Amino acid sequence: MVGGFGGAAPVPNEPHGDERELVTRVQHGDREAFDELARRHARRAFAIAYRILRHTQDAEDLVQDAFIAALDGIGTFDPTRPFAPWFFKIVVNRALNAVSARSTRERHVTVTPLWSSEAAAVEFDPAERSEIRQRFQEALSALPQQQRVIVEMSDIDGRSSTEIGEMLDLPRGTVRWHLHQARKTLRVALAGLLEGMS
Amino acid sequence: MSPPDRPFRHPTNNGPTSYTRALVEASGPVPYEQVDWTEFHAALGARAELSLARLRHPHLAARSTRRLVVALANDGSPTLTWWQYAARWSRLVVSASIAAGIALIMVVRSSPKEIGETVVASATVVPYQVEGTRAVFESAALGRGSNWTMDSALLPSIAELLIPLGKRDGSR
Repeated sequence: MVGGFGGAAPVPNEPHGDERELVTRVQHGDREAFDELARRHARRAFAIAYRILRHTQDAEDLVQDAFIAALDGIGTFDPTRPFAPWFFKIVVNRALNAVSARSTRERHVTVTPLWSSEAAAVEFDPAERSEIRQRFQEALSALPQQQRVIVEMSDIDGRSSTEIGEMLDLPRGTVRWHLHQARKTLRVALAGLLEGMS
Repeated sequence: MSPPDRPFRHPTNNGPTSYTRALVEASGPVPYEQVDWTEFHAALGARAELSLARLRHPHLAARSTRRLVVALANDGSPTLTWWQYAARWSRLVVSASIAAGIALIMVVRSSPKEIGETVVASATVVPYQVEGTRAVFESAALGRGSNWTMDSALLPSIAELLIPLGKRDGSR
């Protein structure tokens, strides 16, 4: 596990020392620099895409498309700014577009086995797990798309509201409000269980 | 840091709260292991080649795109052989030649009047000294005049010979 809780490491707000140079080299068509940039950000981009799409192959394809789109637009990118938020914004926008396009037709969602995570497999007995899973899945499905993505990025992937705001192109206050609303909804959904366990 | 800014954690415990655990279980872990990352990066590198080449040679890429557009635009038209090109151009050449010939005939037909006028005009500017010789020549050619001789028509008179000599001496 890279970082967070089942997710990826937080996105740095400042570019790495050599990331600026990497981006500049990519702007001149350097293949090795692009490979290095892709190696640094692919897993986190995949995590974001997967959180939104809920499909492994779709998320993988989307990340590749996002890298190509970023490469096509990197000529206009300011290398003094951090690359990650800019790139993740491309990923998020594409993923949200894909979800809205997919919502018009029936889709098959690959549900990842929920009990494969070691971190998640502690403390609850199977009955409790089943109930928690059922309630949380219902609660998460009931959340607006944006709130669901925000709460997952924050509470699972460990990203700050500033990072999420940069990725979703939202003000930090709006992200915090969505996060608050999503948590409140989920807590209400889990209230009975949480009281019994605490 | 205010609570919504960071992931929800129990304040006295570094481990995940029940809420967070439940959220993770409901959402499921990110299936990193299901992705063949070597293949992913190889495929991405292959797909990125064209974009990287454009970045390496921006001017060439723009020109190539223009050429591609022209090629695509011409793609629908059938390919012509050399004699079809020759036939197409010969139609133009023949038509232009006919037009030029008609124009030339028109000019030639209208030319006698202009020549007569030119002769009259040139007669007016003939120097006065030549008039005498010309009158002699015309009278010989047309049979006019009584005291005509061929010598008087062709040879200069003594006066005409002496006057230039005198002028030459005077100029000295």
